[in-house]
Amino acid sequence: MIQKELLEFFLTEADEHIGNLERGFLELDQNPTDTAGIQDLFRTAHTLKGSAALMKLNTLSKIAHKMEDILESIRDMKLPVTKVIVDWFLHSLDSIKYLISETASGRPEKEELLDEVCAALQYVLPENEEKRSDNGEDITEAGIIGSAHEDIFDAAGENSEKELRGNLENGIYALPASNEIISQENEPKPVFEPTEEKKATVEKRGKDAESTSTHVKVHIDSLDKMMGLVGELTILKNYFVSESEGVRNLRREIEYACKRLLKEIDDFDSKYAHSAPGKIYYIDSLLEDFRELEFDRYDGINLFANSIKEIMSDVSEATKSVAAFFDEFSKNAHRLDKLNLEFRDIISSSRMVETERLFQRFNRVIRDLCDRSGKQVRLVSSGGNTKIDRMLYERLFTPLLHLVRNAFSHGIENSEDRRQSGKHEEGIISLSAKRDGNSVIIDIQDDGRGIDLKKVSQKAMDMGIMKEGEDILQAQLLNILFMPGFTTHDGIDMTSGRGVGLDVVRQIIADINGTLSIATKEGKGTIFRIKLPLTLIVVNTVKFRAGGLDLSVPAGLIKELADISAAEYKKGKESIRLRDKEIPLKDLCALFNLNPVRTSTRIPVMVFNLVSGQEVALVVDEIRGQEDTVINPLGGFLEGLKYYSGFSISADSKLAPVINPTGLFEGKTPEVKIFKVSALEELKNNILVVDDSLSVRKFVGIILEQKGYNVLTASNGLDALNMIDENHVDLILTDLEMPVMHGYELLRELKRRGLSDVVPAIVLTSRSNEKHKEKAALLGAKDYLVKPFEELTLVETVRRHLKVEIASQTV
Amino acid sequence: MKNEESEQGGNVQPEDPGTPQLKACTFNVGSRTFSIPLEYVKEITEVPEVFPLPLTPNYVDGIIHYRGGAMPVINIGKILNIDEEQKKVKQLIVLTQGNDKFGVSLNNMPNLSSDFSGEVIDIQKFYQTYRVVS
Repeated sequence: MIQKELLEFFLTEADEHIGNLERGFLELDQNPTDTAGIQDLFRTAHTLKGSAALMKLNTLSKIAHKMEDILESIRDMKLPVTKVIVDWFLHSLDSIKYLISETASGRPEKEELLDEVCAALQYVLPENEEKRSDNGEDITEAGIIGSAHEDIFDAAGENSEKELRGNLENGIYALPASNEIISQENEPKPVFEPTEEKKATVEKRGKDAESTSTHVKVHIDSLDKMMGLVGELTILKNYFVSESEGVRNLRREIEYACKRLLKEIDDFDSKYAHSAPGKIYYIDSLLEDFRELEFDRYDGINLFANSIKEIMSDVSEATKSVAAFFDEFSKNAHRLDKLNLEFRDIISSSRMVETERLFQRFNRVIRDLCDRSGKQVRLVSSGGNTKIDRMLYERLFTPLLHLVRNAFSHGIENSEDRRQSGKHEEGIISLSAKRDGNSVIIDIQDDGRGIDLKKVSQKAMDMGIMKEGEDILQAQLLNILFMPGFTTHDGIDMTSGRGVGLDVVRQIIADINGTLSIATKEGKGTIFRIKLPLTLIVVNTVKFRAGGLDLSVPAGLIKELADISAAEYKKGKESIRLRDKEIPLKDLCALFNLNPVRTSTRIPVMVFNLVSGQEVALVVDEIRGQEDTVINPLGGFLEGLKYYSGFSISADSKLAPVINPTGLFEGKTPEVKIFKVSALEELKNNILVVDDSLSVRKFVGIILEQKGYNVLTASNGLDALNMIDENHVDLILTDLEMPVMHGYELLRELKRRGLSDVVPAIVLTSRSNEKHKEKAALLGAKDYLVKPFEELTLVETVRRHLKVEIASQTV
Repeated sequence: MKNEESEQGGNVQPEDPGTPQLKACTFNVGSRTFSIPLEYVKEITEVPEVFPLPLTPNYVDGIIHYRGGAMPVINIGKILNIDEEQKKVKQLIVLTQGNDKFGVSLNNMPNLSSDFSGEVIDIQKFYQTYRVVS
C-alpha cells in the first residue's frame, strides 16, 4: 500500500524532473557554451536516480546515473557540449519517459533500454572519454546505492553543508539503505515514512528547495472534486437566493392580507357595535344600574372583533420579525454567494496552469520535426504567463499539436525556397496566448507560404466539393480546410497530410466551447486563432426562453445581446445590422419547431460567435438573466446530440438544456471567418537602433532589414524611450556616447522600468576597454559589441538575444 | 421496487417451486405485450416532470431529473407507431445499459413475472438502435 502511494508521488515528482531536464537539455542545445544550468541539471538527474532506486526501478535509475556522469563531465569541462550529446540526453530521457509510462501502467521495466542507452553513449563520447565511461559502468554495476552514496560525498566536497543536508533530506525517500549516511547527521531521520512524514520533510528542506517548501502537491482529482462541490454550492446558493426572493413576495402578500382583514374587522366593528342595542345581552348585575349610554357594554361580536384585532396585530408583529429574519437571510445568502465566488476563484486559480508549460511541450516537437525534415524552424512564444484551466491544458495539446505540425509541414517552406523569396532561412512558428476578458486567445502563427488557395480549390474540385469554374470566395474556400478528410498534401508523411488535422481541431475546440478562426496571406504566413473560455466547470450562462421552454447558453459564446422590432421581424426581416455588419437572423423557435411566445414590441436577439468565427443572430422569446451554473453532460444515450452542450439545473431544480450554437448551425457545413490579415506583420521582430550617427543607424538598419527584421531608430536615449513607449520593441542596439541622454542613462532607465530582462539591450560602441564593458553589464546590457564590427557578428548577436525561447524562461 | 433479484445472479439460483424466480418485467403498450429481462431493470417509478429536448427523435419525450443527473425518457409507443392516448400520470421503467441509464414511459403499471410473455425486447440491441448518434 505504502509502495503504491509512494509510486504515485514518484510519478508526479519524476514528471517534474523530466520536464526540468528536457527544458535544460534544450537550453543547452541552444547555448552550448552556457553551462550555468549544468549544476541544476546534475542535481535533478541525481534526485531522479535516487527516487527511482527507492522505487526499485533500477534500469531507470541507472540511465539517470549515466546522465549524471555525462553532466558531471560537462560541468568539470572535461566534455564539450555538442549536438550529439544533447541528442543522446534527449534520447535517454525518452527511454526514461518510456520506462515511467510502463511503470505507471504496472508493467516491469525493460532492462534492455539501459544497454541501448549505454551503446548509444559509445558513439557520443570522444576517444578519451571512453575509459571514463567504462568506469562509470563499474560503479553502476557495483550497485546504485553505493554510487549514490559516493555522489553525496562528492557533492559534499563542493557544496556547503547546508546543501548537503538538503540533499540528504531529499534523499530520505530517495535512498533506501543510506542509514549510515543519515546516522552521521545530528538527528537520525527515518528512512522512509508514509506521506504525512514526507510532507513534513518537504517543509524542512534546505535552501535550494525553499520555493517548494510553501507548496503542497494536490492530486488533480481532489481539485476536481472541490470544483464539483463549488458547482453544487452554486446551485444551492441560487436556490437560496431565489427562495428568499419568494419569501419576500410571500411576506408582502401576507401583509396585504393582514391589512385587508384589519380593515374588514374595523368596518364590521363600527357598523355593528352600536347598531343593535336592543339585542345587547346583560349578564353583569353590577351594571344594571347604568343605562345604555352611561357605560360601554360589549356583546359577543364586539369581543370577537377585538380578539381578532389583537391576533392580527400579533400576526403583523410576527410577519415583521419574519421579514427582518429574511432580510438578514438574504443578506447572508448574498454573502454566501460572494464567499462561494471567492472559493471558486481560488480553486480555479489553483487549477490554473501557465500556458508556458503547454507551449514548452512544442519545443521538442519542433526540434524533432527539424531533425527529420531538414527544415530550419524556430519556435517563439509570448504571453506564456497567461493562465488556463488545467482541463483546457490537457485538452488543448492535441489541437495545438495538429496546428503546429500543420504550420511546420504546410506552412514553412524549405530553406531554399525561403532564401529565394527573400525570407530568412529559418522559419518561425510562434505560439502566443493572451487573456481577453473571460476568454483566452491562443494564436498559432507561421511566417511560411500561406495557404495556397488555388491548390485548395483544385483539391476541392477533385474531391467534388466544388464544381469546376465555380467562383468561391476566399472565406468559403478556407471552410473546406475544416472538412473531414481534406488535405492538400500530395503524400502522407510522419508529420501531416492524412487529412485528419483540422477536422479534429475543430471538433475538440467545439467540445470545450471555444471558437477558431484563421487568417492567411500568400507568401506571408498563416494564423490560427483559438478563443476559449477560462474555466470549464462553473460557467456563467444566460437563461432564456423560447417556445415556452427554459434554455440557457454559456455567456462566453454570446458576442452581443440586441433586440429587433417585432413588427419589422414579422415582415420578414432576415438580418440585423450591428456595427456596419449584416448578421443573419435565425429563429430558435422555428429551428426547434416550437410556437413562439412573444408579446412585447421588441424581440431579443443573441449574437453568437461560432467556432468557425462566423456570426449568427439568434431570435428567442425572452432573456431571463444570468446565472453561474454547472453544465452537466446529457449522458450516453443522447451523446450524439450536437445541438446541446449539456443541461443545467436551475434553482427551482428544473432542467434547462444548454444550447451549443456551433452544433446548431455548423453541424455539417462549417464556415470560417477571416480576421484582419494585417496581424501577420507582427511576426517580424522590431529592433530599435539608438545612435547619434545617422550613418550608423542607416548601416545597421540595412543589415538588419535584410535579415528580415523591422528596424526602428532613435538618435539618443530620450528619443529611444519615447520609441519604446509607443512601439513594440523586441531588442535594443544602443551607442554609449550620445547627446541629451547617453547610453548608460538609457540602460539605467530600462532597468528601472524592469525592461532589462524583457527587451534585451546590446551596446554598440567604439569604446573597447573593460571599464566601459563592466559598467554596461552592471546596468543590464546583455551584450557588448565594439565598432567597427563584423556584419555577421552583429546578426549572430542579435539573433542569439532575440531567441525568446520558451526553454530559457524559467517557470 | 428496487430490483434485487438481478444482483443474485439470476438462473444460478436453485429452482424453488414454492416461490418462482422473477425474470421479466412485462408491460402493455396499446394492445401489445412486451417483456424486458429483469437484470436491465433498475427501478420502476412514476414519471416525474419531463423537460422536452427539441431536435431529438420523436420517441424521446425529453429528459428528467434522476439522481442528480439527467436521464432521457423514451416512448416505446412512438417507436412502434402504436396509437394510444398519453395519460397524465405515467409509469417509468429505469433501464441500465452498461454505465448508461434511460427510462421508458408507460401508461400502465408494469408487472414483474417469472415468465417472459409477448415480445421480448433485447435491451442491448434496443439501446444501440435508438441511441442518438451524430
